[in-house]
Amino acid sequence: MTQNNAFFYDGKSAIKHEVVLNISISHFEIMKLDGVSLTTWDYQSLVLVDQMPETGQARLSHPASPEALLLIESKDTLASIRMATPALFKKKKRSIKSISFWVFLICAAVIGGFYGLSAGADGLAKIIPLSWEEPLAISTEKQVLAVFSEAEGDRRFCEHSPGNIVFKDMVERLSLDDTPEMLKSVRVVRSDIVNAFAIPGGRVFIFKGLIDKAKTEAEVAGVLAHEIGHVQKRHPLAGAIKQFGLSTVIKAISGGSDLAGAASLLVTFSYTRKAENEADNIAAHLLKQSGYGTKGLEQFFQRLMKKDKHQLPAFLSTHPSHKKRVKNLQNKHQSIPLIDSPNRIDTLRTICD
Amino acid sequence: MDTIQVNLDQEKPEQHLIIKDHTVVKEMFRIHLKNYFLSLITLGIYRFWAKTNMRRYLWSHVEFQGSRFEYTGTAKELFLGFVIIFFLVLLPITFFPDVYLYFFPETTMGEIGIIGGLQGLIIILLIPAALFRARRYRLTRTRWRAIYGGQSGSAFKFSILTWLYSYLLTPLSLFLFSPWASRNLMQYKLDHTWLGSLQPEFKAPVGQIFKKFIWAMFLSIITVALTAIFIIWLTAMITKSSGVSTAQEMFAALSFYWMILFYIPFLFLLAINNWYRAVETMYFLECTSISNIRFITSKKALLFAWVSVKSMMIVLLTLGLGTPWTYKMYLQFFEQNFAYVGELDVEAMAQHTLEKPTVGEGLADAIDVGAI
Repeated sequence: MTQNNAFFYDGKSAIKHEVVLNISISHFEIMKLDGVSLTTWDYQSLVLVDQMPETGQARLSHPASPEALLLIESKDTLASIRMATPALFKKKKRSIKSISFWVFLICAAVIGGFYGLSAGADGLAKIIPLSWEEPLAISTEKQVLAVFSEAEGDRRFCEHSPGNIVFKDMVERLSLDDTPEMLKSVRVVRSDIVNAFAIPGGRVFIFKGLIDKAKTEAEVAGVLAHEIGHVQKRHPLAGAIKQFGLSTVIKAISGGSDLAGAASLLVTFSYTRKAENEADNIAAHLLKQSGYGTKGLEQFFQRLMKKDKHQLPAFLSTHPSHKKRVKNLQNKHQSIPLIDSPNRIDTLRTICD
Repeated sequence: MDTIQVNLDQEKPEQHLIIKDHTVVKEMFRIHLKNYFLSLITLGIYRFWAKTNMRRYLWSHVEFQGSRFEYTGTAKELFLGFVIIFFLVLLPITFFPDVYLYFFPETTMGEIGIIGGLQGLIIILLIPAALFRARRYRLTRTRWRAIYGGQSGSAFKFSILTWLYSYLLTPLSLFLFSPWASRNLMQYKLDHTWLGSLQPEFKAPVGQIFKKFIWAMFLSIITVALTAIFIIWLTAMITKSSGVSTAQEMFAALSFYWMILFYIPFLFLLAINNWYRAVETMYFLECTSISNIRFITSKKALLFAWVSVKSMMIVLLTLGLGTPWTYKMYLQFFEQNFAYVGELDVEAMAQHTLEKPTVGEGLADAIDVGAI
């Protein structure tokens, strides 16, 4: 069957050759109007370049003559080819396999990116020397004090009363492990806020408000041990990298800039589930070793949870769930507090007097 | 009668439309909507497929001399191009300061500033090369009557020319060199453009549009000056009537007039710039010939500028969703205002033998300077 109204571009020049197609079951032959055969295209390898439904035009190509193009302008001719090879004109449906592959790839990229940043920050925090954190620590400490302390100058910290002797003794007990290397300072901030946190540079701050809320010395020790756990694992620096981006943190480390708003962010952002668990594990270890036991930390968690479920301080991060954390502590290092005399906590409470 | 007809034809040869637009906004919108949302949910990864889908549609719905174009590029090529550039160029540039600081921790603040500046400079310097390479990719993926476009020349040389003309001589001459800069760069691009074996010829003496450039500059300066005078007057009026004295109060009072102070002059400057760009584009087109054909335009630069301002507003106000309408507006404008005279020698238009890049547009995409 011969059909016309087709044009052939041979890919050698832009000349538009009017051609006739000699259509058969398995292929068609493209011939000049004078009957000279130009080429033969089989249906199997035929490629539909595009089609214009509004005009009935379609453009076809074929690997046999890769640079050539066949333009069909007649609906009848097109219908004949369509009849011979209906699959070519069907909209290719993407297989479930290919869709799943792409969905998987995209999810992997998004999740990989997220965890890559997370893991990258943790890894980096571990290899950056502690001394490099100093400029960042100084500027963050300034901001923390400006935001949270209600007093001026030296009075911003409570470190001159008899309570301080007890506090120092506590820190010393908790530092029995290899913490001194990492831990630069643990200080009590004169503020009624119930909070405690660690900032880069191995500094831990505990607020007077928290000491007031604690019923026993072991409770304060529990919170301190948890924060020391964060310090040991370099979580504050990793957190800063995640929060502010690597280059900003490096600039701050090198003294290039402050982390604007660092104070409010560093104390409110929550660590990852993994980081909290790590800090809890170290805390349990330190508490056990120092003789405080984990009961204090458990009790403090429970009491604060009951009291104010919605406004929990940052050190009581919302994940992992408190119940889980308490359970973890109980399972891992169950022990009875050894040091817990009422006198000591009373003295400790006078730390800011 | 016949003789008169012949004479008339000689004086005013028959004009043909450069392009015939067959696009349908509804169809483009369907493609665009899919592209838009898939790009959003894939955090931009889909954009290579998005670009390819839209180009395929646009190319195949635009006709020149009775034959439609064809876009033969693939998303995979664009994606690979991006991946290569991302790892070889973008990542090293981005992390250069961090790596430097790692090895030289004693670096001072001033040095960090210099490094940051260098980082920005490298990106700016890369833009011309990126644009030139992207143009090469697009041309080599465009077919008309089975003949491919192409681009010779070097992206590096084009960059050096751009740095010299646009980044150095233009500011040094207080922008007066600007028309020469664009002409010279267009010259380089067109001298290295191939439509099959044919090459366009481009001869554009700048003198003819320089007067219009001066007008554009003059109007821009007037706009800025009037805005400054208006702000001073407004400040005085507010001080006088309400007794506002501190800078803070003054800023609060002025913010009420923000619309007038900022957007209107901005729109004016944009319109002036677009008008001049329209004049220039139309002039350059008229100075271009290929084979036996010569291009002519309606010279309606104001209308062209209006189309481009409208397009920008549509894209901004619809957060990019209205982009298909802007394609239609541009294509309709081109169809109605650009024409050619003469006949293309299709027999002389053979396939070129230039090398084709295997991956595409990576650099332009990485620093986000690509067109459609």
